[in-house]
Amino acid sequence: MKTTIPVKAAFLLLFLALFTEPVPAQDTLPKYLSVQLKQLEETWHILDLISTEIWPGWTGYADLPFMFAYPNGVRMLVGHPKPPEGFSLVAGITPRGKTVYLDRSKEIPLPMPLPLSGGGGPIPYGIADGKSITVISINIRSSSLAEGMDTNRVSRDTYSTRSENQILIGIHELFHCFQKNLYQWKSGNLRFNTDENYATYAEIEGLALERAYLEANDDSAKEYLKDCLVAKQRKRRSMNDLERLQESDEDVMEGTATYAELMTLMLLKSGYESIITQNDDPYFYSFKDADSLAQFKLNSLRTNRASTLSSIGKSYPFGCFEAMLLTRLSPGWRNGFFQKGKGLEVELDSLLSLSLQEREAVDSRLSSRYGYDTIYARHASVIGERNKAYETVQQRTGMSYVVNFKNTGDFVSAESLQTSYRVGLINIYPTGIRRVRIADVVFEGKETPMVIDQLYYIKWIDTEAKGSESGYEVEGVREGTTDIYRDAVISTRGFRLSAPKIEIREGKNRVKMTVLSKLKQ
Amino acid sequence: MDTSHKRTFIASVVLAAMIYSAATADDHIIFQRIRSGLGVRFPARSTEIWMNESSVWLKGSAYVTIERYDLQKRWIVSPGKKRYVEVPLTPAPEKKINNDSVAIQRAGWTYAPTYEWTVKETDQEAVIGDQPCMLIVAEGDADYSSESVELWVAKSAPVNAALYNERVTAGAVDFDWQDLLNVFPTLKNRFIMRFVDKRQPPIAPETTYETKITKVETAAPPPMIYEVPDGFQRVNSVQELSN
Repeated sequence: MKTTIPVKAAFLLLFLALFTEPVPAQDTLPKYLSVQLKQLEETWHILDLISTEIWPGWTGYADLPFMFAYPNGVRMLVGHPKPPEGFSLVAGITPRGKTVYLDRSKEIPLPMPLPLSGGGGPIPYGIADGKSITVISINIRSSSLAEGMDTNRVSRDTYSTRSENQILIGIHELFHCFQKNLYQWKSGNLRFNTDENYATYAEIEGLALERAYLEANDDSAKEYLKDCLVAKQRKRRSMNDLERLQESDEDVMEGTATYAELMTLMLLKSGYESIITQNDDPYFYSFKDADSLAQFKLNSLRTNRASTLSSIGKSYPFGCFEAMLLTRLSPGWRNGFFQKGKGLEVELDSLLSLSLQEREAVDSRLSSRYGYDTIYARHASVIGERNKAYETVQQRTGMSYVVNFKNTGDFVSAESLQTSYRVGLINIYPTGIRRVRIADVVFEGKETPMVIDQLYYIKWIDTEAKGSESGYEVEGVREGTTDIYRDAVISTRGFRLSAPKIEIREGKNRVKMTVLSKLKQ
Repeated sequence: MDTSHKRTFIASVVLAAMIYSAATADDHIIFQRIRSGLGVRFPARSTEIWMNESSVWLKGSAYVTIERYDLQKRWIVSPGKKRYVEVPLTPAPEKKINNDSVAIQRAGWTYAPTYEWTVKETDQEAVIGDQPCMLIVAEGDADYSSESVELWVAKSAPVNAALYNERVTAGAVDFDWQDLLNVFPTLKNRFIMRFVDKRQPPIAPETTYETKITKVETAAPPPMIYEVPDGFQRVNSVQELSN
């Protein structure tokens, strides 16, 4: 009997179905996740091309797992050897041969419009073969979800939400992992609030650094670097020994990681072809305007040096441009630099070989060369206001109202009624907070001093509270006899808060309101 | 010896052995501690304790700590390196903070919660190890952090609970034990077979510490356990123990 072609085909299909290995189904990822993976592939591709030009001996960058956490509660893990509980394998999606896992157990129906951006750093996450695994943890914030951005912020965010910036952040964090294998971190993160002396000499240091960077003549550049080095010493007179060590470490760690970003921009100007396109990621422009992206790094130096209250923020551009100048004036400096465990200032000192007499001469010229008096007056005014604001909030007594946003996963970012000041992790709003909005949670403050502390909490003290009288009212649906309310609107003398779900707990001198959900459901 | 004398003799020997044993019997406790957070359960760490009225012997990971209340001394011993260091039994009071460290340059960076505790006895019961226990729940709330502790307390303390709590529990738990006693003083004499301490710090994710007694008995300790072993070299600092 002659079999027909369709019958043969049917047998073939049956044979294939019965005797061949099943091909795993390929999951489809939402756009925001597939774009993230494409950016990661491009990051690895770029480092394949230039990592050892950025820093001699930089390899191993592709072995580090990444974890991305999104405002909608989803977490994505890439390349982790043993994902902790809660993560499920994404079938058939293997960027650079790496497995991808998702944790959607806390997902909420929050739209995730592109572009997305975020930052983070290396953290220990999970254990494999008895060893702690370091992952690069990136917390994604969607700037498109924010509201009320002014014109200045839009122009900055245009840069920060570009995919090139996200790739540079990936390179920055990967570089941290490289550094940590070689450099002995001596003292932990810098914790220092600036004073008049620090702010003034930091500005002079930054001005001299910029002039050195832009100066074409090497000898003249070195003269500016001498100013920079002596101003740094003057600046650090405000610090104790530990803080000096901390700042030196930050300059090395954050400075050289930022240098890795800037070097990337410099090196990609020629001979680079990306492996992803705008079809993969609509906000990726193939580093075509690397020069203007590099200009943002120079702008960061200008902004940070002039900022009275910034301390750790200065380490990123200061360390970066010091490293750029060392690369130009002392080309072999990177070899063995981390292994020596010394600061960038030691490397600069060795390059400049300042005698004691020369150091004194440089010191005496700083004032006239950079306009010390004007700079000091500007910073002293801000420092005075900050100190006054801190004193004001410290002196307030009464009933505390604490609004806890930690469950939302979003740091509290407020529109101030006027100026705000930072002291440690405390952001002080001496005239009050106008508004905070996180998805469907809205906090509207009145003209009264408030603070945002520990990133997730707003605290206000009702100084007019009277012992027996309740200082707040709640409208909403109470869940049984619990302290949980749905669709709550809470009014106090200092603020009005509306939240889809909130818990209110009363203590002796405190009312604590914990936001349990940021989305109406 | 006739049978009745033989019986009397054996009974006397047994009685003497029992009296001797009771006289030298110490409390022997082993507990395990597990930390979990960020979806990861870290390997359990075991701690073994021998103690009596005058002494405590505590073996954690690399070191053994011997506390001699009769001599007012504490020795930290490194069995691996055969070294020990003597440190004060009662730590010196913390130095007063000088003005420099509270200046504006250093303000606002650290947060130390002051908890308001509420403690409730529940009607939940369970057998932990071989001890019938009941559950007490303590909730601590501060401005920017909170802590919830489940304490499974033995209905009848198998060892000297007050002494154990004073000398071991107070230093082993991750919250201020004295704060809790101020709110719920009867805890002082309760033997806790299992703690589950869920801590919600201001910024970092929630961490759970679980401590469970895996052995509790009264027995004769190994000889000379409350002494530094012969031949161990005395050093001057904890750092020198491992160098």
